[in-house]
Amino acid sequence: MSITESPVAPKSGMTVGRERKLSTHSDTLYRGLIIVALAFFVLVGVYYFYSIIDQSIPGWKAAGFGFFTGTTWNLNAGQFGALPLIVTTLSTTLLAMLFAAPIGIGAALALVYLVPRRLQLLASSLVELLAIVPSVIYGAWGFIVLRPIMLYHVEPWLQRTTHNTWPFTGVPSGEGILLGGVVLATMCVPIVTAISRDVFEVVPRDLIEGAISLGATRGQVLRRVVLPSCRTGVLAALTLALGRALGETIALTFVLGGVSTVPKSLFSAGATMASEIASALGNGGALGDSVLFCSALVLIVIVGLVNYLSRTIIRRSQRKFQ
Amino acid sequence: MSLSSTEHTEYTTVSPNGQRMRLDDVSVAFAGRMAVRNVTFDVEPLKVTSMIGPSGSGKTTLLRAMNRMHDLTPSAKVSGSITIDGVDIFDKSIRLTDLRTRIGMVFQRPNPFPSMSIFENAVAGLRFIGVKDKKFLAESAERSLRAAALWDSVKDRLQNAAGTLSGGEQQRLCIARSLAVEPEVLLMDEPTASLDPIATAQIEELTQTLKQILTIVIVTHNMQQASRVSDNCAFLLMGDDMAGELIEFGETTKIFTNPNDPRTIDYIAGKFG
Amino acid sequence: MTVAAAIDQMTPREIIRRTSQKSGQRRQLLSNLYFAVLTIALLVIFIPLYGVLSTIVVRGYHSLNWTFLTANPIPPTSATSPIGGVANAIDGTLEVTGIAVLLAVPLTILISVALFETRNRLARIVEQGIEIFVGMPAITFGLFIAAITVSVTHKFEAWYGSMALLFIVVPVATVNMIAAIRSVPQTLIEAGLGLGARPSRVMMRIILPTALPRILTGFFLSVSRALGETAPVLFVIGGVLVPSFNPRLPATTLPTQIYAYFGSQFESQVQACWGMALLLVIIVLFFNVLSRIFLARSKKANG
Repeated sequence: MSITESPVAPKSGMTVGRERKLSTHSDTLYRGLIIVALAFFVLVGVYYFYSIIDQSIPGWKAAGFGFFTGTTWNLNAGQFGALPLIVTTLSTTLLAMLFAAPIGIGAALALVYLVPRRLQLLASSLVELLAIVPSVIYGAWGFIVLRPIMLYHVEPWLQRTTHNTWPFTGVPSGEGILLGGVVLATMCVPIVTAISRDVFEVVPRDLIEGAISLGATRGQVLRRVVLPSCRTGVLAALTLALGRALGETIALTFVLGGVSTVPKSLFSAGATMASEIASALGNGGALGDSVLFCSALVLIVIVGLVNYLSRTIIRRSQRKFQ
Repeated sequence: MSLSSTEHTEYTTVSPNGQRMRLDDVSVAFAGRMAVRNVTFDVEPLKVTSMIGPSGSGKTTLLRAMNRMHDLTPSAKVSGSITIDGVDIFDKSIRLTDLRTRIGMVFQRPNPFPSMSIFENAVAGLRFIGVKDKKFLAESAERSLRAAALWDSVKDRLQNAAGTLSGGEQQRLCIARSLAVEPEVLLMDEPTASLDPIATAQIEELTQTLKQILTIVIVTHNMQQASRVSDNCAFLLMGDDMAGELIEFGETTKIFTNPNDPRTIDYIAGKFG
Repeated sequence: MTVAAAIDQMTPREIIRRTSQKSGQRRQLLSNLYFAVLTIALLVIFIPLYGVLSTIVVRGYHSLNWTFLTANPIPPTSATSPIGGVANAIDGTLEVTGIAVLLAVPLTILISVALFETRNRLARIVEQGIEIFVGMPAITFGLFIAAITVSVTHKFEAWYGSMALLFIVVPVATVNMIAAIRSVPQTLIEAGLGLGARPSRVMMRIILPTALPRILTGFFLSVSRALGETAPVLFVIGGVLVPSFNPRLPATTLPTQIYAYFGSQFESQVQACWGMALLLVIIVLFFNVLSRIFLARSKKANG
């Protein structure tokens, strides 16, 4: 278990636990409390979804399907086209995962199979340190430290080496989708690493020795035996990170710039569905607020969908391989 | 299940190539602490050599020295000489990955790769060394699965996950996996420790067929098993300083009926262990 | 004889040896390359780690003094005017997070015990619901609480923020706690039941005490996460310049204060952000270390 205990990672203890409970006779008060607790939780959960949907209704009425297709977002002017938000959300998340997945998984492999035993605790503690830094601090750091680096070094260099081809077009401004993706990646990497490391750590030594005894090199052991047998756990790690990236709010309000139209390149400013809620709630009147609830609802659906898909894949492959 | 004679002959269309291994004054130490000391004996080609002894006597440690498995443990140090076909396995010119295809290993618990199908498990070693020819892979898979007496029961479900097999079948798949790279020596580390009596009997029977084409070294704490399957037997015992020592080595029948050392007599008689 | 014909005449064993020898060097090289890439991946992580931490420490450490911790903020009038301290944010953080934890502990215990004891459809739905809530964007909890509190009362209150934080704390703590109590050995439980103890007594006297270190691990983990959250509380706690010491009044937390100050035109306020950031990281780290201590203890206890 680690700082980012994965809810979807397969835990053998869980399935065993399902079969186990105390006897059910007598003890009325205890039984009663249990029912009340479960019912209470269901009520709160339902109320949460109901509230968000209920609050978003005026917004849907005003924005209609144009919420998904409209390219202009201006709450004060009554323009509720959320495509700019959706595009920014998906592109920053995609960018973040492109960085975070290989680095996070690679680092986890290195932590388990490369770092000497006596340094392992230190190294993983350092990685987890990165996970506990609050998101508002990442935002501040991204704006103060990373933005100038992006503006004066990374973005001009990218434009030069690619000869100004898309998606590296536009005027480098430092802030925008690229910076947002990098900051998000920084926040996602420790999640991916911490969970993947837990998964890699429990790969039976037998399997590794089995591969070694067949003449595999150490690299082949990791690529062909360790990684494939951990794919459900790694997928769970990626899913959690993906959800975090989609819903990340505060850090992105610092580094994305701001929004009105659909971003055209990696250097374009923008706002994600989540970050726009934080920046704009209360600024666009009652109707504007309601439209922001629409944005929250869409976000919830996307995150829920991602979770559902990943669970289905995990369940299916568990059925096949266990 | 019994081994049909056809399976046997088909495999032996490949010429038998069991090699002799020679252990000379072999010691293994972990972090400076001796685990096995000064062991010398010969593993005869195309025979089954068993290593017996109580737990802690260093049987497994010694076995793992024979395909340089201890290279995985930084604190382990192996001294003395181990040769296969007269060549020192610690020689700089020997590539570890080559060595391990020549000296296969089967483990205590069946360890098929869970992410691979039965077929992929069987040819895993070939894939590791870079064999890509589909026909060659298919033939090798069949040959090794037949040799491991598994072909008939899995030939219609080669694409199933290896985890769908029973424990005994999994262990035979692991043997097939080792055979696929055509080793000259097969090291077996208590291969039946986790199996039921029927599966155990099948594996034991298998060793008798396999020794016609390769050399087998088997570690077991089951003396009956050692007497049933092995031609030669090494008896190890933990010395005063916790390091394992070779007490006696010889033909299995001799060790079990007329051993030289009183400690062997005591162990065989079940006085300790 | 051509090479092809020669290969035709080779036995499978010869072909395998040949392939193995031929590919050996390349495979070793690839393997080393692979490990080099992994090393780079690990080292890359340390760049932002060093970057973030050094920035906070270098820019923040001279802010951390007694005045900073105990004085109330003074709205600046010029770039050099004094800005006072952040006592308001420290009080707010304690109030908002503290109340959240006080409420979260009984709730988490109740729900976890309930899930441990029930196996029906309802329990399955709740368990999946909790896992879904772990992954839900924190901002949506802020919106939900805002919709049912501030929109109705038209007032900001500190405890609304606690309510929103419950959605962060309870799911994480519950997932950990369920895992913890399910890892209690069945034999212990049966021993208790065998002695004729009622289920509630077995839970109170055997299961919970045995699982306590791991339960605490989960709580401290979730608290350390809640402490740094901005999004859930942003809309509901308002903001104050003086500590209110009253959860029914508005409050400011360290993260919301950083969020508010960061866009300031006054350099002194931006400067104060780094001081607060350092303070926040120290507090979060404290709880994280606590959780690790209990985790280590539970691992030791379980062998």
